[in-house]
Amino acid sequence: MKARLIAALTQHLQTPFVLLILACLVAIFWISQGFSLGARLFPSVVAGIGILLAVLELGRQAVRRGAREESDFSDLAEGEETPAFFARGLLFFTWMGGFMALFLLIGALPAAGLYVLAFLKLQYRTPWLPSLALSGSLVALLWGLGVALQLRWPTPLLL
Amino acid sequence: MLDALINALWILLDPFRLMMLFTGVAMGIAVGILPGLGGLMGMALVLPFLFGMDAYAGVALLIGIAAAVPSADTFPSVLMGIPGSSGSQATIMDGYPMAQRGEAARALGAAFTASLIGGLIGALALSAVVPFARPLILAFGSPELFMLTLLGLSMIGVLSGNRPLKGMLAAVAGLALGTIGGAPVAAEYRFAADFLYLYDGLSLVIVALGLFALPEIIDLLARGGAIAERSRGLGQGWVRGAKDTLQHKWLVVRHSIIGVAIGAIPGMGSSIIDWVNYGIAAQTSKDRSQFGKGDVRGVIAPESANNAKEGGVLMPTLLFGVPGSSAMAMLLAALMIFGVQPGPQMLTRDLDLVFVIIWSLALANVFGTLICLLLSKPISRLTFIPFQYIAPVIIVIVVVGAWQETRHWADLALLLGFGLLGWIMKRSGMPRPPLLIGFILSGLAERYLWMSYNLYDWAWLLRPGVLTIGALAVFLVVGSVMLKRSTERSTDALQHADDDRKAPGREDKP
Repeated sequence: MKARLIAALTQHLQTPFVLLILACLVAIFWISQGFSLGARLFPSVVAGIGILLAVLELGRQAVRRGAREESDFSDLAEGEETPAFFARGLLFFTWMGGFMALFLLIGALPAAGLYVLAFLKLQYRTPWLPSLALSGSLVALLWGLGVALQLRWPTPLLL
Repeated sequence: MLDALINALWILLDPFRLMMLFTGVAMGIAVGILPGLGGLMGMALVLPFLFGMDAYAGVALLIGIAAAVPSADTFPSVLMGIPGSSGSQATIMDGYPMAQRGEAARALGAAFTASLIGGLIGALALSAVVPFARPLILAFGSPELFMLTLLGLSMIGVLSGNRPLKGMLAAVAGLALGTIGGAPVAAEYRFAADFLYLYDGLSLVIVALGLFALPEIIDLLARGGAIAERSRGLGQGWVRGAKDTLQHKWLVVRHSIIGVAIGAIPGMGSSIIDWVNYGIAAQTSKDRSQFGKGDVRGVIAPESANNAKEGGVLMPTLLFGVPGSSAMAMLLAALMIFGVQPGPQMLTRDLDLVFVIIWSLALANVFGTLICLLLSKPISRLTFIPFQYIAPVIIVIVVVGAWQETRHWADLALLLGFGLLGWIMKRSGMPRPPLLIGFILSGLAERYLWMSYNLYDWAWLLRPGVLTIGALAVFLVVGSVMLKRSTERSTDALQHADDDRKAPGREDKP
């Protein structure tokens, strides 16, 4: 069931995605009507053209329903539409989200060091030496960049 | 004009600016040799760090990246048969067979020499066009400029993916995203939902990083393993390769000119430029028997065009403010960060900057080629680093870069959101470049539309210039789609012929 759901998402994502864009464009058109002319003109024109294009695209997809549109996905390599690939992609997005949360909670430099170490050890089972070396080098690089470019780091929420 | 040209060279020769150009070239080589990453991502990565930097230095950094990628992406194409970026696919046809028979150094030597000459011809063509185009462009009014913006956007939308409708829809979605925040011509905030963070609109840096950097990193990680398998050594023949290019000088000149011409059409981009040139080189040669088996001309033609096109894509970018490619959209974004209004005004107010860009392009090609030639052995080894070591570093830099925007938690949430959006767009067959370019051009297009409407009401639609550009748009879009489709057909034929030829060899493997 899970695999079928992911397969459906990867292979038939285009129609729900266009429907979502259509809904957003209709909302933009609708909300724009409450603005003054200067603020309304451009969003109304853009949304109007967009709604027309989205309807045409949905029509094209309906006509070609069932036909596998290989040519649409030319920037995907072979095997990139499998459920396993999709699941791996989501896993790495979760890693990224985790780093962002850490970044805000414990601060930029500790989060960067911890994230790289955890990523290499837990996800790839990399030996300690290269993991620590990369993690330490990255923290040093960030510290150097911070000093050179006067970067500002988040105030840790937990510390 | 000549004064501005010489003055720009002096501006660029400042040690800090030269160092930035050199840094850009080094970064361009790094992202160029790693398949899956490209100039666009390299430029997106440095964008957050441009704030507060001197405009000339920042532009030199970006042009350094853009100019070095077409040279460096030859490494994986020749050594492993994997395109380093979309512009180096055709190089594989003959470069990889040459490497397989121990002539990698010769193929790379020929490619880098062709890239150098092509890049210089591109820069020369760009500098030659500026004085002639200037009076014409300055005669345009707001309606014509609005139409030119639409023309560029339509071209990019139609040509970026394989479904013109999807590309156009992505472009419109980008224009719509650009309307979030304060209206440029009225004292009103739009679609901000009383969220103070959105009053300034969405951050270009975050949209660019999310759409282009994150999906590529995720895909490379999800694909797993090292970026490339180990290949054979480089072999000998660097000088012979360079001599090959010089022997075929007219081939280099011809394909550089074709590269500039195609590059100047917004949206035609690098993905077909190499195939068009490879096809022309193969079809116009007297002896075609070695094409696809390791003919050095099959390396020289696409490589010279690939580097020359950078001069071409800069033409609409600098002259009309319409990005010729998605990487050029990043350049426009940087110009906006520096407070420079892209478009015809640049030719009057910021002529120095225009020529700094041209000089940067020429010098970056020289630096890039020299680095690739002198450091080829260590550079080629970089390709074998497992991506698991590169990815977390890039992710950290992307997040740190995004945070510098407004230092608000929403920066990170939006980054993740646009990353997911880019990843889903990739999976649903919707091209991402038109969305980014639409987003960048949104403010400019809105101002042009408002000025046109204010001055002429809807009668601006009937101005001769507007009608001419409209007709030109239809002609260019239809012509470009036909050229793209015929190139794809001939590419398929070439690849099938190549596969058929290699088929008996496969049987030899155990």
